[in-house]
Amino acid sequence: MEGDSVGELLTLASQGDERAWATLVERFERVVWSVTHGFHLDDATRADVFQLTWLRLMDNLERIREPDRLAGWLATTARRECVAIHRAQKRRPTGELLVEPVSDRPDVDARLLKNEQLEAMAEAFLELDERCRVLLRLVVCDPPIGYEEIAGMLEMPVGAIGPTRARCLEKLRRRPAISRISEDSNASSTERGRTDV
Amino acid sequence: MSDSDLPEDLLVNLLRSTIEQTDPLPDGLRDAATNILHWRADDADLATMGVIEPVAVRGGASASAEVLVFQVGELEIEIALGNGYLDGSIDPWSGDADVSVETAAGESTALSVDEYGDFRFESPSRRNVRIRVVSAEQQFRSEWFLTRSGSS
Repeated sequence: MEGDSVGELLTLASQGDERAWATLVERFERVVWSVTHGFHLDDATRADVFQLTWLRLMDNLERIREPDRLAGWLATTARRECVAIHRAQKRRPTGELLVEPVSDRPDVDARLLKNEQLEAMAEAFLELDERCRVLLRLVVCDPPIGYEEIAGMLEMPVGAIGPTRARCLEKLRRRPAISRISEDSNASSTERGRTDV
Repeated sequence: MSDSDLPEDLLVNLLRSTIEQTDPLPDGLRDAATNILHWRADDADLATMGVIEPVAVRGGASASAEVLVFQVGELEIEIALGNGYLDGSIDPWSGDADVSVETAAGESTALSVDEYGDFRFESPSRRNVRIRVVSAEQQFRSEWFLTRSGSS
C-alpha cells in the first residue's frame, strides 16, 4: 500500500478497500490539518473540518480526475469549509464560540520544542509577517500542494507564488535565529574538517 | 544567498519539522477519518442514490440561524441550523418518504416528519451529518454538513 500511487489508492478506496483509504488518510493528513490552521478556529472545530474534508473525498472518490493533485483538492476543500465556518461565525451575534482570540493561539509554540534548531526556527517563523507565514505553511506541506491551488486559496496570481515563496524563505533565512543555525553549522563543518586532516 | 547560508532544502525541512511538532495532529483524528469508509459499503446497495449539494446557503429568520437549501427536481429541502438542533422542511411533502439523519460516526436516526413536511433533529454536540430521503419514487442524500453545538 505504501508504494501504491495515489491513483491506485483512490481506485481501491472507491471499491471499499479500507487499507487503501487508511493509507490515503495517513499520507495526506498533514496537508488537511495544516490548512485548517490559519483561521483561528479552536482544535475541536479544526477536527470537525478535518473529518468533513475526508467525508467530501469519500463522496467524490470516482470524480478525482487528477490524482497527482489530490493534495491541492484536499487543501482547497478544507479551506473552503474553514471559510464557511468563519463567515457563519461572523454572522452570529451569540452562540458557540468557534474562534479563539488571536493572541491565545500562537502560530507556533516554541515551548513544545526540544531541539535547539527547531526552537530557533519557531522564533524566526514568528517574526515573519502573516502573509509569509500563511504561504510558507502551505508551500512546505508534504505531499506538496500545487501552486495553482495555493494561488486559488490565497487569491494570488499563480505566477506570484514562486517569487513570493522565494522572498519569504529569504526573509526567514535572514532572521538572526536562523543565521545562528548557519554559523553553528558552518563552525561544526570547519571543526570536522580540522579533525579529518 | 551566500555559501555560508543555510541551504534551501535544509531550511524547508527544518520549517516543516517545526510546524509539524508545534501543531501535531490530535489523537484520534486519523481514526475518525479512517473509520468513515464504512459508509461506502453501507451505501453499496444504494449505488444509484444521488448526492445533492446545497443550492443556497443563507441567513435564517433570526440573525443567528443559517439555512442550507437542497433541491432535487421539484423537491426542496431546507435545513435551518440552530444551536443544538436542526429544523428541516421538505416541500412538497407527500408523506410517503423515509427521512433520516446519518452521522459520520455511523449512527442513523429516523426522523418523524409532520403533515407539513417539517422535522427536527436534536444534536447537543456539533458533528458532521447528512440527510437521507428514501421514497418509492426516489432516493437521495444530502452532502455532509456540520451542525452546531447546543452550548452558547
